[in-house]
Amino acid sequence: MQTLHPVLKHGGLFSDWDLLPQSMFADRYARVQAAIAASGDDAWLIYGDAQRYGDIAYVSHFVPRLRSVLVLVPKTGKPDLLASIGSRDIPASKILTWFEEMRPYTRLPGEAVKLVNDRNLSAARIGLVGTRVSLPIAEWDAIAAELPDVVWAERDAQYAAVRRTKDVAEDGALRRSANAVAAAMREAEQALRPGRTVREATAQIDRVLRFAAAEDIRILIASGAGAGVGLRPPDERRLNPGDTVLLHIQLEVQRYWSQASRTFVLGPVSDAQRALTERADAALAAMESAVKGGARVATVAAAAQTVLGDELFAIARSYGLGSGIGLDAHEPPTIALDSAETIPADGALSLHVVLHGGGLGAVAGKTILVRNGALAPLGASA
Amino acid sequence: MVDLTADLSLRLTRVQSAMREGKLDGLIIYYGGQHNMLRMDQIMYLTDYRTLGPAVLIVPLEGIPELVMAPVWDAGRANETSAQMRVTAVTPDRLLQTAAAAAKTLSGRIALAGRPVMPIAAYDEFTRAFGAELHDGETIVPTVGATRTPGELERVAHAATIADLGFQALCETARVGMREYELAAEVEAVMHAAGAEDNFGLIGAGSHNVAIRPPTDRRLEAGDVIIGEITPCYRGYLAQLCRTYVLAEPTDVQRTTYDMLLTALEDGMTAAKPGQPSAGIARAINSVIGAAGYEEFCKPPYMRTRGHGLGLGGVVPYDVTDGAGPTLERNMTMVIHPNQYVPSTGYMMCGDTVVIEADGARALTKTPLKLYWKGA
Repeated sequence: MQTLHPVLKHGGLFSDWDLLPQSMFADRYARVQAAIAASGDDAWLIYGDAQRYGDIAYVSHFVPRLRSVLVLVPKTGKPDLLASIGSRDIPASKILTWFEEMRPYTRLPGEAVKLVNDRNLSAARIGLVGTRVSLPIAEWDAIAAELPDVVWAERDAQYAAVRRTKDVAEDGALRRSANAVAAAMREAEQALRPGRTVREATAQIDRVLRFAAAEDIRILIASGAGAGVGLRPPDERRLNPGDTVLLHIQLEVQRYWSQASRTFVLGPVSDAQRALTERADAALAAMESAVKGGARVATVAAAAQTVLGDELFAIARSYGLGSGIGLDAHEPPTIALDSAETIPADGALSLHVVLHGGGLGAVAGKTILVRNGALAPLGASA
Repeated sequence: MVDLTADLSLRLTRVQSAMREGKLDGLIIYYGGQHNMLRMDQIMYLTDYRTLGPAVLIVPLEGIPELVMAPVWDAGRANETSAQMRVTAVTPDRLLQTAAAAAKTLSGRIALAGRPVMPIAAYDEFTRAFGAELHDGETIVPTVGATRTPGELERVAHAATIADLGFQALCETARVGMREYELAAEVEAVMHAAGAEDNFGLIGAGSHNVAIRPPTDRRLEAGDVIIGEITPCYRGYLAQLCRTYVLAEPTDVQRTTYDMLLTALEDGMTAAKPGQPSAGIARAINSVIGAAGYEEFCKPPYMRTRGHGLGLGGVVPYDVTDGAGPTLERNMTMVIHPNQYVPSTGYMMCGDTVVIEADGARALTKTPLKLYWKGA
């Protein structure tokens, strides 16, 4: 689900090498180099930014707290990482990666060109990852103009194929993230009280997430009459007795995202509200039941449609029904009726259902883990 | 309380006037939704809408703009701002095609702002669909937005008040044994409850800091120097407070160093007058620190800037360095921070958000200027 991007990842930024050992990254690096060789390239340039950093973090564990980062992986030999930081920031940034080399930059094009030249790749064949969707055109034009003899090749698909190989250690990171979200949902049970503003309540929820070593937190919420309209970032609305509150939390811990959504009612629950909440919960359960490794993604979306009917399904679909989740909050596959993708045998999925109808609203959402084609326990229920 | 509708109308009028001066018939503004303290959100400036994702604002020379945004379910938030505009909500995959079609209704000389943040694919899709020449419109809104309107000033001042609360929380909760990110969480919680929707927050600690940095899992120790760059965002507008807190009684060297920073800040503030170059602020600060024997530490890699424009992203005067800088004007807002690395104490922080007024800089952050410490 689309959320508000912050001006800075301002949670705890460090590397827990017990959770995600450096040996795992060395294995990933070897897989990337094998893919480079298989593609006939001399090196790949992998670009990412604070908004879409998964390609970078997969191989380096690095996450930019703002702006962008560029990684050069040669066919053989060591990588280089260019980060949008000052040289005095290198000590604090190096703890975020297992890479030995890190270069700071103020302007990317000049440093990227220098790096390619330093590595004797100025007449090489270089694959590009993440550039089409994230690299600003102005920076690309400047880089390409300075390296006229490089043969560039798009390698997003090849890199995505490498990333589809999941590591067992990832489960721990996903579990830690999901457990923190579950704890925050429990905190919400008493944080969401009549008389408080939404902002005050979410501050209490946010604090629990930050104490769980959150790197980034996204919260969407709707309350009172707004529950019948749409989710939004927290605001100053004051909660009233009887309010329905829809809460969606996305959390990044050690680069791994998880999410959950839940409906709260601040007082007695009307029959109509109960029915809508149960529809959302049932649709989520139906989607979860349809998840199997190798199954068509469209069947998961269809399971929700069967429970919701066309009218409510149209609303749920406007928010999206979910996607893969991990190093990016939104990864393939996207859960949709028209998807031709299949559920991976190993991976994590974010599933959610957002409903509005008759002035009421309901949400249900969770992160699930698929291992060897079947659902695997992820952690405490939200 | 400022009339926000009138305030937003004033901003639009200024931008359209600048377009006229630049001989432009239309301005297309792209914003990627990746919010940034140092880059002005030009769509927010004109619409009071902080986008969730990419969005395009089409500004005609006369009349009201059209905002093309996604996702559809966020249209209610866009529509309820006080800005006069048409909102066209589309699914993300239709955003650029829809925006290009809307932009084609403009005729004459059209400019684009946002190319520096526009990804290759987005640029290709938009320009192909638009199909006509686009001039450079990058500086129109930031130039007009260099000085704050009354509505903007109100928000920056409120953000400054929240920053003061954040540092107060730091002083009240910092204790030996807690992790750095836990301390940051306490600061964040207080500011969030007070209305902060975001924070460019950095908090680091150690016996000898090299620079400010993000919080880690390190546990605070007795004698740690805690440095904080606290930058809450209130309704899109940022204010920054830089202070230093010692988890013990400060040493004489720490006190002396901090007194130097306080003098540097005072001199920097004195130099911040309308009509004067922003570089004068940096020169005044560097003069104090250089005179104390630390001239070499006033340059990279130790130091880079003595402040920067702040409010709705880092607009004019941008970075405050001792080279050539723009002339200061009334109602500019900025942070002045003579933060400094010194070999004997490590990095210490001291800085306030200010507004430039007729007789000089006025601090909007109110936290008393002194070195803070446990038990003080």
